[in-house]
Amino acid sequence: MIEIVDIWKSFSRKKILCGVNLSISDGEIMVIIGGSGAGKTVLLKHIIGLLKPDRGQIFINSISLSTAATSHLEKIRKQFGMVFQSSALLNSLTVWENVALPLIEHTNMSTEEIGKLVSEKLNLVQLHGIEREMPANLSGGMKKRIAVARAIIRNPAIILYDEPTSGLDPVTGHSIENLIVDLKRNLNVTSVIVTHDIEGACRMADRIAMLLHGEIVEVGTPSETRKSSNPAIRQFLQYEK
Amino acid sequence: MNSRATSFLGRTGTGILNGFAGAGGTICLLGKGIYWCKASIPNRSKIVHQMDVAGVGSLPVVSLVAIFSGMVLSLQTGIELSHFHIEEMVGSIVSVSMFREMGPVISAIIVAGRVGAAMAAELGTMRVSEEIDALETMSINPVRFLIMPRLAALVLMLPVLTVFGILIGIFGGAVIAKNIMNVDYQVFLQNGIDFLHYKDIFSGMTKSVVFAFLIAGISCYQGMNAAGGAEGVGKATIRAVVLSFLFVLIFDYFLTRFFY
Repeated sequence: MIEIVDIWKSFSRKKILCGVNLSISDGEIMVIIGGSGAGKTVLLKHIIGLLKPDRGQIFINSISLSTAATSHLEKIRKQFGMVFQSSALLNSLTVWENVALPLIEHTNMSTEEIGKLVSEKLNLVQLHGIEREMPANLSGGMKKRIAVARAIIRNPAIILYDEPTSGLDPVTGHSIENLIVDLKRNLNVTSVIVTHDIEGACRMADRIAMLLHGEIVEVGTPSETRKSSNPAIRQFLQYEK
Repeated sequence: MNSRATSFLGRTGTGILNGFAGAGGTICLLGKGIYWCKASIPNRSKIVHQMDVAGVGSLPVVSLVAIFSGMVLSLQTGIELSHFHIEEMVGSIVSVSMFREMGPVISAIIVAGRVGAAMAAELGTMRVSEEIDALETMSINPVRFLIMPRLAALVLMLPVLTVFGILIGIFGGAVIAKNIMNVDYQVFLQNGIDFLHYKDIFSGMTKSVVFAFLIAGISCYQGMNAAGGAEGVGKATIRAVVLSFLFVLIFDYFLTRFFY
């Protein structure tokens, strides 16, 4: 369970988050939508403790991230996987090493066992035979899929996705959406997805939260979102068509 | 107080505060890096890779600069000594200067320019492209994974480079002494050994270890705190090189005062 309680954040006096409150249940797919610069990524980075709020608290299974010591924070983060908007693959490592890194660092598994898992996860994101490639030689879409494979390699309980389908062709984008839904269905993974693709959000989400001017202005199921009278959501839906 | 004066005071105050924050941050990062040396055995492959980059990669430049420094030192002092007909003493001046001062400083300056800049640029790029954030989300401590191998490699390799630079520099000096001032190799070496004390060797080696900590600490801190895309990485790299040069020379003075 993720509880976001009255989070405030400013950068150089510019207010980004102004009292965000949101509760995400176990196994839920929560999609946070909002315009560019609305603070979606900032909110996501707060959830995993990469940023500390100026005010407010975030609780992961009733444990506050704000008061957790660094060593405890590292333990909490082991429950997480995160897909960055820029993919954030380590450019000095091969694809195989990138995907295997969490296992190499945190488990005593043999190279063969790790290799098997890496192949399995790369197959899930429809990538084969690129294990020895360096990230610099790959397209943006391929990097995004490798980032997804890396995020799910340890079967985390919570996965955060920052624009998981942006830069992907529609077929691959749909396959990633299906993968997110399958992870919830099969492994009860909690997913928090940040996007401005409202159609994709409606396909994946259990609930959709709209972030506007640093606040969550509406939370509802996809059908409730489609029927929303909120002008910002109506505008999103209008331009999506 | 007019607005220009206020603005000047504000900028000065911010500069001083940033300076203290940077110094504190660098010391903290160094402390964490030293702490994580406890994990050096499982991370030995990363350390060896960094030793290759920092040490083996710097060898040709250090050799070239050291040999010419030794040659210039021998030539300049030899010419002056020949006025007093004591040019055979050139060996003692070259070897003592190389051990005490020139070897450690020349190697540190080259490593700061070559390796420190690379560290700052590499870590800065990783910071702005969210690679360091990605490590944190995977519960991988960036200090253990990135800083400790660089720090350990530099602390191990800079003294080795320094010894190598000193020996090459003395060799260059001996060649010039023989060919221009007609000082025999044996006389040059004998004078060099006779006037050299253990303290000179110890102070030179201590300097090179301190310089390694300084260069690694400053460069890694600047890289880890880069912000603002490619321009930010460029600025962090410049700061890393300039501050490393500056602090190598400042610490060189105080260490010399301490030893002599």
